[in-house]
Amino acid sequence: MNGDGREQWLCFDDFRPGTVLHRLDFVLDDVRRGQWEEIYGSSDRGSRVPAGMLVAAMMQIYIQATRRRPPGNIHAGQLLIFGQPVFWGNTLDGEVSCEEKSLRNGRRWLTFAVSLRKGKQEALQGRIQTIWAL
Amino acid sequence: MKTADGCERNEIPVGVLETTSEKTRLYAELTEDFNPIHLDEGFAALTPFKVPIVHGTMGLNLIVDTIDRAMAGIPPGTVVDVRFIKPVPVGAIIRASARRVESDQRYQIDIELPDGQRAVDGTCTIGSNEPVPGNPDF
Repeated sequence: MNGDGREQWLCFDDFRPGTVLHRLDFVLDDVRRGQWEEIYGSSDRGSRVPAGMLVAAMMQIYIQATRRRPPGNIHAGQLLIFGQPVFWGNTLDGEVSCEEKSLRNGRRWLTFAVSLRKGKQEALQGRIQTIWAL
Repeated sequence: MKTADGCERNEIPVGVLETTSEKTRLYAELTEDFNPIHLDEGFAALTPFKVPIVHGTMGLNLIVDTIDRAMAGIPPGTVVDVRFIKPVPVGAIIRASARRVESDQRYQIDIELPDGQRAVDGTCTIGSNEPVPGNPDF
């Protein structure tokens, strides 16, 4: 215990590049479909899931993996590589790992890699670039 | 790039989203990101932003959804690479645009705030429909 409250947070020093932080089975269910369509509206896509829904799923996995992230983090950049389309009712396998960390200009940069797959088929690969607060 | 109606276009139709507090709450539920900076006016008033701001990917998804609709599905291998430049206050009406640059496949994309400033900018390189390998190293 160092008394400055750091022990309650996930800190920059805690991350090891290459380490898987969290896995999640993500069901593309009607609840999520309803939430998505209330925000962005519905469209004539049939049962195909909007590509942005995968981005939301990516964030959910990242948020679950970093529950103890400190206040003041900055989501600085985002890379997305889209794969094959998926459909409502599908279950995706999600995984998030710490990909890279570096100190640049006094800032703590962390990059997280997130993948979403349906079986062996890639649906989305994401890279979340953050400036970590502690 | 051919859009959903089969036309070649230098621009795709602009997407617009009114970022209400209700939509922000729904996006928080969708992502499990209940950071009070997005949802709590009292908390946000004590931050440099002064007001709640929307989740970065809520704005980004307006671009993604705009392209998705225009192309009737984002082709596999499509790469979106953006920077978050300015926060979007909850309640702002934001506009997403995409303009073709350099080649048929490459678009400049951005999210614009009501005052014309950009909140998000970057590029979208449309994929070739080739299967994306299952290698997480990218």
